[in-house]
Amino acid sequence: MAIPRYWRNTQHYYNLIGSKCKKCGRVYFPQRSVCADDDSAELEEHPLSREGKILTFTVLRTSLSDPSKENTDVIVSEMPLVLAIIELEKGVNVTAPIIECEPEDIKIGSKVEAVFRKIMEKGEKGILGYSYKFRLMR
Amino acid sequence: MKKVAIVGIGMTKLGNLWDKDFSQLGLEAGSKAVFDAGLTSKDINSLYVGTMSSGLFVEQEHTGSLFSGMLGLNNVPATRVEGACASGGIAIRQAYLDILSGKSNVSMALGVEKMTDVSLSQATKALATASSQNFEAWFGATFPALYAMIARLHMHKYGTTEEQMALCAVKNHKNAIHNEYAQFRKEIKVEDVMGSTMVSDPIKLLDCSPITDGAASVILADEESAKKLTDTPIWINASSQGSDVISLHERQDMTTLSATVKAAKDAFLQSKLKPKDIKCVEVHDCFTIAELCALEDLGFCKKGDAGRFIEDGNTHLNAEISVNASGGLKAKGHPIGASGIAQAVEAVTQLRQEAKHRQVDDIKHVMTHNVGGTGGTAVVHIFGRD
Ligand SMILES: [Zn+2]
Repeated sequence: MAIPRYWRNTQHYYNLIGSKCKKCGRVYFPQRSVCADDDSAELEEHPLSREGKILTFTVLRTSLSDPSKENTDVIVSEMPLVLAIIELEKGVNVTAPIIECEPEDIKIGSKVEAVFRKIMEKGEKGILGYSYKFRLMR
Repeated sequence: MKKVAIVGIGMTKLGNLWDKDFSQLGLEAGSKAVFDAGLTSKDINSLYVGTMSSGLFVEQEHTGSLFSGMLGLNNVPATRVEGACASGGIAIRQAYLDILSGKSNVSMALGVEKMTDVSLSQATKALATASSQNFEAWFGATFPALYAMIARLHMHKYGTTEEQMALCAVKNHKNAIHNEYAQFRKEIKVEDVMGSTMVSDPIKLLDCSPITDGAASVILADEESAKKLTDTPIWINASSQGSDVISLHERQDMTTLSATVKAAKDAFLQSKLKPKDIKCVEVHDCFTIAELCALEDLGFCKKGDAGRFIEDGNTHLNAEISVNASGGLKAKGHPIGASGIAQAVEAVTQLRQEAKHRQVDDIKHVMTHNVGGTGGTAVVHIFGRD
């Protein structure tokens, strides 16, 4: 991902900041300036809940790429990678890795919390990208 | 309402075609279709090319011009369309609309993809561009991973089993034995699927469609031209398309492809047909779970019932409904942008009664179902003998 693109994204996307319609209360992530339900333009910034529950998940067993051979971003994840769709608030779901867990411990319905972690390295001396990942709540 | 027919079909063998170039594949399929229609390239009024990611796979864009030139078309409008794995279905629909509009009498839809010139990881990355870059691929989500999450939820909600999913792969491999264009013409057993390498739980290697090179083409004509050209025009009874949010996690029900539901509803309305009138369907089985969702979303069984419907043998050749008589994407192969057109080639072959050992008996209509991504795009066509 190009640096300006990552910089633009990181402000709201990867800090989990959505927007909320002042009129009807619907929460959007990513942010929107107009509500799809009532066309109201009165929306305010809304930090999403940092806790949620797993709706579905998978354990990705095979690595995507050997970045040493290819000029590509390194997605920093250990294999196997547990990926899940997490419900943070009603109608607001995200796809993200579940870290610091044994794959066998993950269930549909498990409660998780957001943490901020490195997710991308651009080459050996390039920029690092950070984003949300989740771990099981203890 | 004006009628539009398919009057010519052509396709290449699908597979790992190391000796054939991207442009050669398109030329071969397109030329075969022109020849099959009894036309010359100068009779074509417009061209729609479906290719998902020729830029990433072979570093070639501007494929409308490329194939118009290769095929010797007469400076006609040549347009590339893209809707991920549904690019081919969209190309047919655009050619159909071009004829309905009156701007063209005879149009070509051509789908081409050359996937094996890049490494498997580059191909996986190219395919992942059909998901949300910012919210899915960025976190390491691949297509097997996304469909695996659909499968997990389907199992959780409806009691669907991995064996039921495996049965789709087994059946599609069996059908492909009789398809000379298919990538895999070899029978497999449920144990083979269950024992194959785990890619992304619960999706195993033999639940996945392969990486495929290939091209397919159809020639569409208005009623007057079609009747002059052939005694067996295959009519387009319906052509419909739906869309949905690109990210799986944004869907209210992640086991339902709303784009498919919408396209199917429109297709049944247009054709005045019901699901029970369809005895042969080519569905988009990029993963085995996708075949289950398709049967439900197209209306052939109730939501959540597809696993049992398949287990009871309803989807075999000449059973209740013949699903993927061609071998489907799983065994025939999945050359992304060409897949939707290869489905139409199968539909026409079946309706012309030329499918030999995989022929579905007494069919009047065939449906094709082509999906982009995890369901961000869906295209449904119904073809018929009248
Ligand atoms: Zn609102």
